[in-house]
Amino acid sequence: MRRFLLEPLLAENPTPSSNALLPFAARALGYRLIYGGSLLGGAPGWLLLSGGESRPLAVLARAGGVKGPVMEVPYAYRPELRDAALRLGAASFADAIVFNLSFDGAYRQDALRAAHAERARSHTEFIILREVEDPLAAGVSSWGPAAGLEQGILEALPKLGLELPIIPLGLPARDLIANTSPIGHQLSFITLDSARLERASLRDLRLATRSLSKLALPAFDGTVARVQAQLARKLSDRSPRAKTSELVDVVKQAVVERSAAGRQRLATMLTAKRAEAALVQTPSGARFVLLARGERGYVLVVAPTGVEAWASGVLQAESLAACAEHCASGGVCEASRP
Amino acid sequence: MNAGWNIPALGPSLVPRRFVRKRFWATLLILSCAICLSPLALSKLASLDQVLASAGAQRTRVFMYELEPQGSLMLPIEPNTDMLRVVVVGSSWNAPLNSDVNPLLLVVKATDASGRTRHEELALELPRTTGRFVPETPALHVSDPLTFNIDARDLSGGSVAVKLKSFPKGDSVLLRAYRRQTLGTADREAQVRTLSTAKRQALATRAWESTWLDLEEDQQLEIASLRWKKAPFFEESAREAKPLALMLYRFPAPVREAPWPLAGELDSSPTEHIAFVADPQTQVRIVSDPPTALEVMITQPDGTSRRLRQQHQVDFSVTEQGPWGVEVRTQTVSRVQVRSRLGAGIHWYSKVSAFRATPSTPFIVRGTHTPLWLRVAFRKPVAVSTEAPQPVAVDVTTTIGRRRDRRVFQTTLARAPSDRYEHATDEVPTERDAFYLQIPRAGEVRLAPREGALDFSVAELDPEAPAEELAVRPFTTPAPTTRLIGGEPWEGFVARRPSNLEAHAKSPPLTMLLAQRLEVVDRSRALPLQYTSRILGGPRRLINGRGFEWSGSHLYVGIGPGARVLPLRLYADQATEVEISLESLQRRGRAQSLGPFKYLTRPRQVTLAKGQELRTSFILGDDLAPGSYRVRFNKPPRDAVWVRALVAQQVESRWVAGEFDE
Repeated sequence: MRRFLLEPLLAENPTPSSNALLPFAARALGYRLIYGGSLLGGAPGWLLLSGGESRPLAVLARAGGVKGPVMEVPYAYRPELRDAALRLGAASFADAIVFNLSFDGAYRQDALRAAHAERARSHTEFIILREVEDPLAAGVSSWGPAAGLEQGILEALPKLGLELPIIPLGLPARDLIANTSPIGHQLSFITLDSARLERASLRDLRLATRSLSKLALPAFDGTVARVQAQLARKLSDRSPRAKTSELVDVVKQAVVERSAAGRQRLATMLTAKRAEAALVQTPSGARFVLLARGERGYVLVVAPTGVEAWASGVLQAESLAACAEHCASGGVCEASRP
Repeated sequence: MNAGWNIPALGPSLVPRRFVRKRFWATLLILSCAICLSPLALSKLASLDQVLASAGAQRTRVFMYELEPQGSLMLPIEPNTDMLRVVVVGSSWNAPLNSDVNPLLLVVKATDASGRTRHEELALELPRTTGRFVPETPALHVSDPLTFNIDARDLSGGSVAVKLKSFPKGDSVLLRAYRRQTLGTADREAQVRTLSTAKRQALATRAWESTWLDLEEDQQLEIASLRWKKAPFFEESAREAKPLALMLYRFPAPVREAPWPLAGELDSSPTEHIAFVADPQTQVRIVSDPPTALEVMITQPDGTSRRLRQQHQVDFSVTEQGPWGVEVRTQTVSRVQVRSRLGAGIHWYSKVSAFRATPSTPFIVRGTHTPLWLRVAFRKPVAVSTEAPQPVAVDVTTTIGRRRDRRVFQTTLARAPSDRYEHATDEVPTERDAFYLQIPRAGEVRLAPREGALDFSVAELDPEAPAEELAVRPFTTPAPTTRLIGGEPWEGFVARRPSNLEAHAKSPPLTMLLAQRLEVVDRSRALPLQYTSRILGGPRRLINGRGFEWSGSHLYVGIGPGARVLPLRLYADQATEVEISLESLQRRGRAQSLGPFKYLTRPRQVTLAKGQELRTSFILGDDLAPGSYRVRFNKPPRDAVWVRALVAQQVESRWVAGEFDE
């Protein structure tokens, strides 16, 4: 596992020959390896997952070489913790995320130890994400001259709708350092309590993605404004115009009520290129965003995917950017220009 | 040898006789006291030693430095030190530290060579006195140790001062420190050369490497360069603090048994049980906390059951003939952990969301551009203490334009012994009942309890969903005596929310935890059998001594009111898949009204193995309007499938106490 899987996956400069061996090594060890187009920081990357049977590790790594910080999640069996790691890892420019999926043990597990030791050979920056029970023990703490790393994390947290204080290092963190950290390593520890984990969770987005899986919608972590801009680029000038009331009706049935028939109607609309849609995890929750050409220009429909009340009254704005600002957490807006 | 030395001989002439006599008596007195008291001391020490020795403990003498509240001790930082490890032990005179948690506040002040300082405040919680550390000073009691590390990089030539700010439950703390030293290049090479193979491997393992030999030379040197050395504490006056001797008993590392991963945990009580299904060859461990008497009832696939009664913990292994349905009861309220290993594991509770409706806040579903089929499942919330079954009436009002159709679905629901709400402790759901409804295009259905509250889980039939797989069994195998409740549902019905979601905004959807159970099939509740008629002259074949029709033959059913089951035997010469559906021979189509219906007729899929005769049964629901229907078997055109059904000259149904079930 160490030589043929972890070393090429987490190498700073992977060689073509080691990359070529990766899929075979993964399959031989009971893992599944997926090469993805837009993973950490939008770069192509590897995703190492269990091949069916229970396996202790999951790894997400930048395909071009792991040069930046590596995030480790020693107790990643909770989905909320995995969500927070994925979002924080992407936002704080981590080049790899290592998840320990076995229930007991964390750093007592050989697989996680091997992954850490592999990176510790040549790498110096680590982010370790853990859960704590006490909300007062939630925060960011660092070992060594990790001011840059710590600053990156503090800047990334608000993107997840989180704020954390800088706190002194806890005992488990201090213990871990003595056991694992060769001299000169920088480690930042992020500890999140269950309320913050809940806020950072992608559960609503995941449920919405599952519910709308047949539509194969793209999902983003960001803001409505950013997603609206991307959809506007995709929306063809030749798209047929739709009535605002019809768009609101379809979104209400398919997304808010989660009706199977409504979803079919939305699928027909998207297949006919009458609208463009995406899901986005905003700091205030998961949202469905639909953009179409309306009778007066453009229509932006933003609906919560959770059970929050949806204000579907139609607003008017000059541009789609202004619409996105009005509908940051939900709403319907008509704009005369993009 | 001593010729050159003038050493005076020691003798009575130099020591006064009176003093010698006094010293003799004093020595005699001390010796007699010591002899009298020693058996007591020895017996105490011996008994402690015996206890510790029986636990395999090894004794070591360690020295620690005492730090009283508001006192401070200092550690000078030697060059090449990057980390300090401090061991803390709480001490108390006269009484042991019996609390599980003994809070302690230390302030660490690190000063570098240029005088810059850094403060760290450490809130620690010391463990209780267990006897692992035994002070040599009588009447002193100490806690188990706790360690913490201090970053000492860039502190070379400086110092670290440790101050005890508060320790409310003890009198003082005892400290011991180690510094992590990095050897220079020459030293580390010498160190590597002198290390034994076992020690090298131990160092590699400690650094989380698999083997020493796998490491590159520079990695070996780096690992070997780290060394922990004891560091003495000094008082603020730069005088070395006076150490205190303790006996440290080191216990051998416990033998690690294979881990028992947690499958789930829930509270249990005499009235609220825990239920789950364990797959074949799974080892199961059930533990209660706080400890209480556990009663485990196991239901086996053949319908037999057995009970296990144990205090605190029950272990058992599921045989190859599993799965087993398991129900756990506790004598008092207790948290029950279920752990499992080997086998395929445990089917734990599944989560289902529901919306609570009352007569004033109904669950409304508005139709769309196309007719919808709904499956409405409901449960009634009842108090934990409820024992009697609850009568339930659901008002089902369907509106199409100006036309309004109102019906009532009545049933009786018993309290579910093992299902529960995720966050409620004072109420539990009843068992579930369900019915099917049709919403016409642009229609609306309003579901409300006649009184009180009901929790609705409504699902909508996905028009694009593939047909549901029918359960089949070889014709020689008897019908199963148990069935799995709460397993993986067919995904053709998709959970949906109410159209009046805003009315439910004040009470967000509830999450119910529903147990998976193995239930003994109640044969007395089986549906009546449906006979078929056929047009003579189609191809026939004798299989296993019975006559089979070609699946393209015309099999007809004449349906009266109520649901029934059509038993079928199927045979194929090659592995194939068959979809069984019903075609109405009436002009009006199959639906008789909007609902509610207890059974819904829908196409079902059957997978056939090559050359194997299989038995199955197809449900003809109460949604069918009375009349004539044709049973269709859709299959790939080249595959030959043979069918045997119950044939009667006159097409009618008659009751047979059930041998068949779906």
